[in-house]
Parts: sequence; structure tokens; C-alpha cells
Amino acid sequence: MLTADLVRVQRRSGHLHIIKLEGAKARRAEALATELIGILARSRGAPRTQLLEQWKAVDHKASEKRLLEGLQKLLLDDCEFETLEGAEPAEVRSLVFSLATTRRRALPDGEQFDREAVLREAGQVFGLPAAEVDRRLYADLKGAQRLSRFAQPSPEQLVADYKRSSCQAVLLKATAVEVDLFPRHPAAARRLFHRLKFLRLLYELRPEGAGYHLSIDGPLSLFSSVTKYGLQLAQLLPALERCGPFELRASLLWGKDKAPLSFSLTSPGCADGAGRDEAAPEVNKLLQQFGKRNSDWSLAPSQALLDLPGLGTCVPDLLATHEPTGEHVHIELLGFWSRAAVWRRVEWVEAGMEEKILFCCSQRLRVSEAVLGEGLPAALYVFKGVLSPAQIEKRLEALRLR
Amino acid sequence: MLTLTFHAGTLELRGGDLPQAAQLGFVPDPRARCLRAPARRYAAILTALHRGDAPYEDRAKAYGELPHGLQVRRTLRSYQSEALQGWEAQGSQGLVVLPTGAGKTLVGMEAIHAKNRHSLIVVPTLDLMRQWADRLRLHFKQPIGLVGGGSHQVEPITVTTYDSAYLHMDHLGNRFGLILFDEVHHLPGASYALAAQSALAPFRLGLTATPERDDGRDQLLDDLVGPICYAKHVDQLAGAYLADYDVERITVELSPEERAAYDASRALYTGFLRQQGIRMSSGKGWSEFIMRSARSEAGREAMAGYQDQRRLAFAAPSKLEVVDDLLHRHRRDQMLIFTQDNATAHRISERFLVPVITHQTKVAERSDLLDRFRQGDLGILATSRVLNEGVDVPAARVAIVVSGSGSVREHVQRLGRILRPDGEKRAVLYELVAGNTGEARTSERRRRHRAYR
Repeated sequence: MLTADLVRVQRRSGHLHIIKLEGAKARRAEALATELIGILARSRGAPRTQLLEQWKAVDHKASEKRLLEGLQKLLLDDCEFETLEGAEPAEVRSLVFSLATTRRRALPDGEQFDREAVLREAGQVFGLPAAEVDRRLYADLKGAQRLSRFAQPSPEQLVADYKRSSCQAVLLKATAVEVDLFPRHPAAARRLFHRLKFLRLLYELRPEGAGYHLSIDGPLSLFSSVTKYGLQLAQLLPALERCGPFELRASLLWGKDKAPLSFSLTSPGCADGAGRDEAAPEVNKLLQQFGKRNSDWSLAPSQALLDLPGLGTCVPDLLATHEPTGEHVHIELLGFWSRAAVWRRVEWVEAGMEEKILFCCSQRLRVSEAVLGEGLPAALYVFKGVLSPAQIEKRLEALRLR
Repeated sequence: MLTLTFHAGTLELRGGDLPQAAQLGFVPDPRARCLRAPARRYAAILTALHRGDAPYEDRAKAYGELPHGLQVRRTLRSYQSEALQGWEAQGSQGLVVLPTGAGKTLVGMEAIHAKNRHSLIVVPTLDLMRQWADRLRLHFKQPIGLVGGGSHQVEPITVTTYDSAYLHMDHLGNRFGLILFDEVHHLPGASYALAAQSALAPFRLGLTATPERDDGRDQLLDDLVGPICYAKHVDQLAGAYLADYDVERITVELSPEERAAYDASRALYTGFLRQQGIRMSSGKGWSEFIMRSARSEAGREAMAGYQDQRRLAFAAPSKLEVVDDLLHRHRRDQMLIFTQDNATAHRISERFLVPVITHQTKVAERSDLLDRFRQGDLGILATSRVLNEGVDVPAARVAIVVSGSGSVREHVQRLGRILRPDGEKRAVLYELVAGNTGEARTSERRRRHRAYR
């Protein structure tokens, strides 16, 4: 990932803009990428310092410094370096420094310390000439390590990586983000909320227009603006991209002066994964089977997110509509998830979840339908083998009448 | 019933309200439907809950008492006893300021013994982490946890680094009743301060020789740890409890070639500053220079000029000749060599075949070098900034500061490296300054301390 200092940005009226790489600028970036990749390809076995110096010498304008260093960082992230084979430099140093200490302490007044004599004496122990001892002394320093493996992307790929990584790098300096989100799919939305939980971020969710509004930050954000959660917010971006179209606004503390700036991002800006998720096969199958029934109930993919602050967010897969009355019941297919997932939902219902909902889980999870009593707006359908549309309809009807 | 829980460095209160919630630091949190306060407020919150009428359950605290206290005890010096009494009189919160070599670690261990609670010790470097762990293991005779440098083992007494504390306090913050910040002047940095706010430890002790910070953020220490409860400075203990010392500044004139190269590089840099109207004496001068130097060819040349003139002043061959002479003069003394940058430290190491410790030195080698230096098998150690503070090197008598920053704290800490008492030794610190360069002004800045009498 890029670091924030390697992103090409402009500050304008309190807003941070990523400088777009389009047209001639994109071609220039690809030309720089071509040169860097070429140098890399010719540097197998070369010391890291030499590679970096050759990269540094690539002809560029002052305004291209960040781009050049950013492209280098992305290439370096996929490189592996090795230390020279043979006598371990640490062993060489250990002996050389001991010998030097002894010789220096024994020097009479007026006699100079003889560096070459120490190296020769060490060389006799290792069976190496003095010059080789000298060369190995710091051969394990990062800069002296040799390039052994590297990835070789195309210049276009490298520049595309730079663009994508720039968005994440800006979020490293975010104190909070606001997102207008239009989930394409329950499975993707569910992954997003799992990710939020995994990253220990806190959020507020409310319906807005055709989608939802998410305010995301961390526990300490309540007391002061901190970039402590910047890494988590950056790590959330791929899950947002997969969830569906979004518009993101971030509050940043940018640069050494920690200037408060805002930053905006819309999904096409850096997403190429949005909308890839398809509905889970069991959901499609149930939709097809249910559609063939002669029923008062119809099923449709759900766009709903049922938020329970402090507990979690329930993401139903389907919305069941009772056509004669227009009443709704949500359906979430837990399938073969863990027992813990079922208990979590029982907890949500007992904590006051208001929407009517049917949870469907496999018998293999060894839970009883009785865990959700009749007085509650939710029911559990424990299925054996495959989901039965008839059993679902029966439970939907029972829920409707509660 | 009111329930207090710990969550990611904060305290959550559910099940009702507290009349004085706002004064205690609680803020309503709609994201989690609770009242939330920084973990630092734990002691005050618990006192309020205890005094209130409402029943409550404290699920936040996850620390207990130590299996036993100190198993090996040393008689405290009078100022160490006074420091400990001062700290306890202040509610077991606050800073003890003692010069390097005056036995701060001992004061810290006695504080842990006195409170007898699970304790976390936070230190700035991996070397110090290992050093504290060794001392604690020896004196408490129980396993000592380590969090940092690839280790993650939590025990009733655990040592960690400031970096790891920042990363892990979200889940470690409720597991210790006492938190001890060694070299506490590091704590007020924006990130590290969050670690102190995210811990609920009611007992807090900060140890340092130099609480002052150039950025003035030392003011925050009152809130994060507590006010200074005891202070003694180098000149108050030198002679009686610390080695007596001399400071000798050696001005090194650059050779004509070095001078010409230095002047040419500096002209590029200063010319750019003038042309751009950047005043380095202003608070934002440096960041302005960084920003503008990236925008033009002239800026890039100015930045290269700046770096060249620094390199020439820091590691001029003429300076290294003086180092050569001092190495010879003190060839039978234990000696530390300090530089501002790693490149100079390595140049010295390669030229004079003396061991060097930088942040790149691996843990095993670093420990080995320090052990051999302590035992006297090695006579010289060069370092950039790793040994600036804390690391116990009792036998060093001579220090050479080849180059350094303008930081008073750094300079006092470097002096402290040679002040640990060792018989009748008289310590000496040589400061090499390239004459008629920017370094002379830097040197003046860092010597503004009573230790440089």
C-alpha cells in the first residue's frame, strides 16, 4: 500500500483532491513506470542501494517526485532481497571488532591503529582475503542485500495500482468517514458489516433515499479527532467497493501540520470490483421455487439493512410481501453458518428488533426453533437438507398474524 | 443495574445514567447506545459509582494483585525514598525526575511492589524492554511478559514499547492497575498519548531525566500521568551519587576543500530560502521548505544542497581525524560514540573497526554487543540515536558526540550515558563541532541546560 506522503494531492478550499492521472499525465506515468520496471528487470542480484540509486536517477520533473517514489514503493512491496551467501556478516563483525579492540588497547603511545592488519588476521580465520572480509563486514545491511525475486507488472497495471492505492493512502489520515451506500447485494453488505466489526470500527446507519448513510469512526473519536483508525478505514475501502455504489466523504488531518481537510470519493473513482457479487445460489434457488407456487406471498431480493446500535446490523436476503395486505416479513438465510450466528440473532430479537423476520438455518447447527418464542416478531426455521418453500410460507403466515 | 465495561480503550456505561456523568468525562454514544468515556477516567468514575446510590457492576477492570512482591530488595538512597513517598503522597500518580544513572528503575520496581497490582511498563526501545524485563525477573522472581519486537506474551508484570502500547492498548488497557512510563517525555506525542488515555490503570508513574519537550507538549503529562511529584537534577547529585564529569567542546575547522564544498552547498540552500522568503526561525519554516523544495528544479537542488552541507558538517573527514585521535587517547577506556545519522555511524564503524548499533542491528547482535561492552570485551560502541537514553552501560567513561540535533533533551541524555557511578571515575564528554557552520548554532541550542555548567 502507498503511504500518505506518496500520493499526488492538491489542497483547495479546505478540500483534498487526488491529482488525476489522465490523458497525457497517464501516458507520462506509464513512461516512468516503464523505466522503473526496466531497471528492476535488469537488477536481479544487485544490491538494494544500487537499485534505489538507479531508480532515483530516472529523469523526472520536481512535480513528479511523489509519483515516481509511489511507483517505486509499489514495486518494492513485491520484491524480495537476500543476503550474500558465505560467512555470516554478523560473525565476521564479531571477530573483527574483538581483534580491533585487543589491538587498539595494546597500542603503545604514538603508534597508529592498523586497520588492514585486523582485516588480514580475521581473513586468516575465515579463509578469506582481507578485502573480502571488508566487503562482508556490512553485507547484511538492508542496502547491501541483493534483489532475488520481484513481480513485473505491466506499466499500465502499475499505474492503475498507484491510482487505486492512492485512495486508500489518503484514508490513512482520516479521522472519520461518511458514506452514502447503495448495497447491490445482501451478501456483500453482510461482508461489509462483518468487516466493520472485524476492524473494530463503530458506525451509525440510517436509511437515506434509495440507500443508506453510514457514519464510521472509532470509540475514541467521540473525544477528539484522531487518525488512530485511519488504517482500519483504509482497509475497509475494498469491502465498500464490493458492496455497491457509494459516495464517501472523509475528514482528514493531513500533512505535518495536521490540517483539517475533507476528501470525497465516489465508487467509480477507484473501484473496479463493485457489483461483482452475485446472489448466493440458495437464494436464487428459493426465489425460483417460490415463484412457481400459487401463494399470497411473493419474494424479492432485499435491499434492507436492519440496524441495532451497539449490537450489529442484520442484513436480510429476501423481502416477503403478503400481496393481499401489503405486509412485509424479512428473511435471512443462515444456512450452515455457525451456531454463534444464530444466538447473535436471538440476542438481537430479544434486545428489541422491531421488524418481522424469519431466520432460516440448517438442522446441522443443532438449535431448536423454540429459542424464539411465539410472542416475538421473529421466528426460526430449522430446515433439514434443503429449504422447503412450503415450510417457509407456513412460517411467514404465522409471523404475519403475530 | 449500571454496568461499566471496557471497550477498545474506552469505558462504556449501560443500564442507566449517572448524575455527574459529564463531569466524569462521559459522552452519550448513539453508535452503541451507551455512555462512553476515555479509559483514563476509570479511577474517578469508579469512585463516583462507589459513592452513589445506584447498584453497579464493574466489568471493566481485568487486573488483579501480583502473586508476590519484590523478592530481592536493595536499600534505597535517600532521594529514591523521597521520590517514592512523593509519588504515593500524590495519589500514586505523577512524574519522578531523576538524572540518568540515579536509579530510576529501582524507584519503579519499588512502586510496583508498593501497589502490588498487575503492572505494565512502557519503554521507548527494544533494548530497554529487554533490560527492564531482566531486572524485573531478577527482583520479582516471576515470569515477565513482553509485548513488542515480535513477542506477545502478557503476564501480571509486562514490559512493552511505546509503539506496541499504542497498537495494543485497545485490548491491554484494562489488564493493569499500574502503568509505568519510562522515559516519559516520549509519551505526549499525539499517538503515544492515546495509549495513556486508553488505559484504565488508576496508578501511574512517569520516569525521566528530562521532562521538557521542544514542542511544549510536556504540559500534557499532568493529565496523562500526573504532575511532577519529585525532581533532582544532574548537578544536584554529581559527585555524591553520580560520576563527576567534564564537557569539552572541540571545534574542528573544515579543510579548504571541505569548506569550498560546504559553502557551495549551503549557498544553494540559503539562496533558495531567501528567494522564497522562507524564515527557518519561524515555527513553520522547515515544513514550508520541504513543501516548496518539491515543486521546482531549484527547490530540488536546494534540498540536495541542504543534505550535502549537513553531511559535510556531520562527518567531515577533518572530524574523523579528531575521532581517530580521541580513540587513541582513550584506547583503554570504555567509550561511546554518538552521531546524528546512521550513515556517519557506519562510516565510523567501517573506518575504525568499532561496533555500531543502529535500528537496523538485529536483536541478538545488539544484546551481544551490549553484553560484551558491559563486560569490557569491547571498548567502544558507536551509535546514531539508539543508545541516547535508558540503556544501562555502567562502565562507559568517555562519550564523543560527533554530531547531533539541537535537542537539549538528546544532549542531556547522551551525557547521562557516562554518568553512572563506577568507583572514582571522572567522565568526559567530547562534543565535536564543525567550525563556522550551521552546526555551531545547533550546538549552542542543545547546550542550554544546567548540566552544561
